[in-house]
Amino acid sequence: MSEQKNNYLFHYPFGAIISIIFIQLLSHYQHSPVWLIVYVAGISFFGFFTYRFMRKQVGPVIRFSLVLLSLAVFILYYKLDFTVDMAASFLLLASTLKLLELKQKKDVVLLIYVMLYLSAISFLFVQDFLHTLLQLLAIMVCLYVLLCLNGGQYFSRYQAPWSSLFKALFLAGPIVLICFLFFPRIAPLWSIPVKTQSATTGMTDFMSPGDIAELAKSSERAFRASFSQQAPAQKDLYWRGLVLDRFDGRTWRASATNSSYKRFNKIDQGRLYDHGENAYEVMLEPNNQSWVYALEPSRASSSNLLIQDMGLFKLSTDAIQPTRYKMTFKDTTTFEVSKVPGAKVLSGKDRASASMKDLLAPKNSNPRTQRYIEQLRVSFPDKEDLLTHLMVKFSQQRFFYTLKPPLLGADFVDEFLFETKRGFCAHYAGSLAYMLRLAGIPARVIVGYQGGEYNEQGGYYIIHQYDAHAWVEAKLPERGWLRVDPTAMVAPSRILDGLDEAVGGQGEFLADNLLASAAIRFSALSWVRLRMDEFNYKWQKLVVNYGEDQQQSLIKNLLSGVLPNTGNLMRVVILFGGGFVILLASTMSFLWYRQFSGRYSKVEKYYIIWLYFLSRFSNLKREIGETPKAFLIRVQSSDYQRLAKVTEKITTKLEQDQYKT
Amino acid sequence: MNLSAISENISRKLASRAPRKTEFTLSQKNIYIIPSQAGFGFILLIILMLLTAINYQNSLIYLFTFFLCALFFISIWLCFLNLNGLRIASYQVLECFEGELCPYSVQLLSVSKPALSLYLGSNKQSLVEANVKKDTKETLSLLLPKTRRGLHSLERLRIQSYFPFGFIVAWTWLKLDAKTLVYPEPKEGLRAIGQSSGETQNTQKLKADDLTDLKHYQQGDSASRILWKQYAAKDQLIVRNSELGGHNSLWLTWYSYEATDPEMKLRHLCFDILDFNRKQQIYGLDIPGVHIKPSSGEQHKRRCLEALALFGSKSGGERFV
Repeated sequence: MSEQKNNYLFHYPFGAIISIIFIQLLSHYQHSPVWLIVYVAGISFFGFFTYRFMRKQVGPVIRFSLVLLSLAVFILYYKLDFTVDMAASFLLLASTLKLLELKQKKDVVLLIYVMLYLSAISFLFVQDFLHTLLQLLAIMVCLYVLLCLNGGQYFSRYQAPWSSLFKALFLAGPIVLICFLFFPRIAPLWSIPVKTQSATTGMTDFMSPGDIAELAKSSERAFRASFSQQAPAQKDLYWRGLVLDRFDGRTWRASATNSSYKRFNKIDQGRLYDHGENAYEVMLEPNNQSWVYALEPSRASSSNLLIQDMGLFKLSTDAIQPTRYKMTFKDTTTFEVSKVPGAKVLSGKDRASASMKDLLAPKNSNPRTQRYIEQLRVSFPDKEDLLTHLMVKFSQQRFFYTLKPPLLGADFVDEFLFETKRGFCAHYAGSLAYMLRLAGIPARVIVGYQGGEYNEQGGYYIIHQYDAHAWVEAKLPERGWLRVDPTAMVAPSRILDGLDEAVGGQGEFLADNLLASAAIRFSALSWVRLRMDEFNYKWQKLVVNYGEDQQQSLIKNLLSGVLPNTGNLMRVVILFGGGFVILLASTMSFLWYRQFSGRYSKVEKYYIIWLYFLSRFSNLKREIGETPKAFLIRVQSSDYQRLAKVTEKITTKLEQDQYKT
Repeated sequence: MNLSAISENISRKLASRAPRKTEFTLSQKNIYIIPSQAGFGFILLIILMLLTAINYQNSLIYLFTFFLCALFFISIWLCFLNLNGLRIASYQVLECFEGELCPYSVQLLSVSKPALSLYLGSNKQSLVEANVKKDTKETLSLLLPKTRRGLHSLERLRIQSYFPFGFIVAWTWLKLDAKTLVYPEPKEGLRAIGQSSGETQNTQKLKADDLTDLKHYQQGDSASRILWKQYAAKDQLIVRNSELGGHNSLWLTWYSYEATDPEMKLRHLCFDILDFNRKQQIYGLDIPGVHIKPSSGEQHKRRCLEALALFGSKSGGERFV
């Protein structure tokens, strides 16, 4: 009996099963710990070699100890704290152990099903196009294994299962399309905590001196943005992300008192609208946060946005996958200009008032700065003049913009302003906001991104992590809130041309990442990079982001001409059902056609069609066994002389076709 | 009782009412389809994935789920098409001895497409695999459990297939008119008392040198009885009706054996027929209801064995070989 089982085992396409495990490793490597990858790969190789060269299964003692070892390491590492990546890792680990004891057909089937589920949940972590292709490959290999299991001896003898496989995949296409477009997208049935342990690079909700310089080392994409009309100039692309309004002498933090959310209720139309206002669309890369990056002043126009105070927005769900949102944007050129250099007057009712907390500045540190501001308050009684003076000072004194500033002590503002004078945007923004607060001007630090790389062919901006920036908003009594950027005074090229230009000469830009730096600097590589990015952007817009909103607007567009007054549910039913009816009908007619075309030659087909017409429009019907010639004579002797002529022609052709040599 | 068992029963009953035929073509009318155990597992997997897609609002998981879902539906179709149009026939009556596995000849013919990974059998437990390539004929003999002597026909034939992915099982129950002839088990028997001394009393001697004994060669005549000298001289195949060397031809009769059980007698007769045939002796069979004149050769042997197989049955007079 065991002999039989063993023999049966050798029908398994073991190599294919191993390769699925490796595809899964590749799909999940981003969030899997290194030990897991090494462990799974090791066990797979071990299983493969014992199978291949020793022609037997791994013994029960080794199997049992491997299970115990895996369980122990797993519990020690994850501490039973449920996260999605823990679940994925568990499945991967368990299925690899299962690999060592494939005894029956159903063991293999179970393994394949787990692999398919692993493929599906890998989309929670990665959504780009190449990854999707990889999962398609995984499906194909899984199906290949199933085909080998159920194709019996056939494949061991003839080895051509791929044609059946490709046939199935090809036929699946239309069904998938209809389901994908019209299957009703509904809200989550219950909420599952989506926690992943993997840290992503990106903004934080606090800023100490030197923090943002870390981000500048990353060439990862933060988000993409496309505009319906002319985009603002590069120097005006200030993507506000977070307002940091609490300062403890060293670190700026966001206050946690934003509770008044309003949800924007209009349905995302799936395209940018153009009535007068400039609209833009942002495709946010997954960062596990709910922060929204928006230009100033913007209004929300997609349903996944919540409106907060201080001109901020929030996503209704964390961006665990690429998230798209839309904004309309009012051009600020019509606002009056302040005399403060580089400053822009911002409007917006929500932020018209400043509260006391925007003036709080700890007095127990940085004595030199405090004294300096006291003097300035005396010499500049007008607050706008004082701000202007401070800004000009930044450009006049020998401040130096660098990604590698010296470390600073407890009184960092003192040290930075009067001694080192070398710093990054966090230093400039942090110290300016502090000085303004000391001077009685409400001020806060804004973190977000500035600028972006324009993809000319695609017509959109790519905002990288190295575009991260910090600046200041200050409120003057007679002007309202102003955006002031001290970094622009120190290193104008940072704002005008981006980080590369600003620090390019110092060899600091992407210093740790030669490949990414090369991909940006060399034009050929850059071209390839931008084309790929464009493709992925389209993929994200069309497929990854296809959701409830997009589905409803698509259905609306499709049916607005035909059925203007039907409910949403009815529309879904009509399109979903209709799609399948069309699919079924076309399949049937294709099958009928194939059967028909295989049996008859071209002339015969015409003849049969003509016979059909005759039987429909006259009472002439060819009897079974009646020869075409006899039938022709019968038609000729009937009343339908006109039909007889055509019949004669077709019959002659048929005879020529049949009896030609 | 689960769903597949119920539908199994229904299809079996439907098949049992259908007439017995020697040739079947599979179509919508006689193919039954239902998800297999693995198929129900796959549906569960799809539901799980759909829940994941809904709860995480992940478009690509939706896409992936729909892809698997589509594959499931297509596999129903492919599974049906695999069996559809397959022609099953049985024209040949096979033979065996009691105590051996009973073979039935089944011919599979697939027109314009292959039919793969078919499993055939008379019950679900013991199935034989068969693969029919495009436009080819595959003949296989189903071995069924041992039965008693006589003419047996295949009670019912099951053909099933899990092709292509195992999610779906398509099957059919056919009342195929496949027959097999089971001869008695050959067993050496003791001669009856008074007959062991010589066969002369009950068996007739035939003269070998009788000129009337010569005849023209017919198919089935033993090659050892051809007069090769005649052939060389006259270019004619002449055979002797009796054995060369003047062997006596024998009558095998019902009363030649000690045994009283008729079945046992038939077994002894069977053994002697085989034995005489091997020794190329001339023998005749004389049992109640059957009288076969002495002769020899394969055809003669078969005729005799058939008479033994059918002894006592209604269809005793029919000839199958």
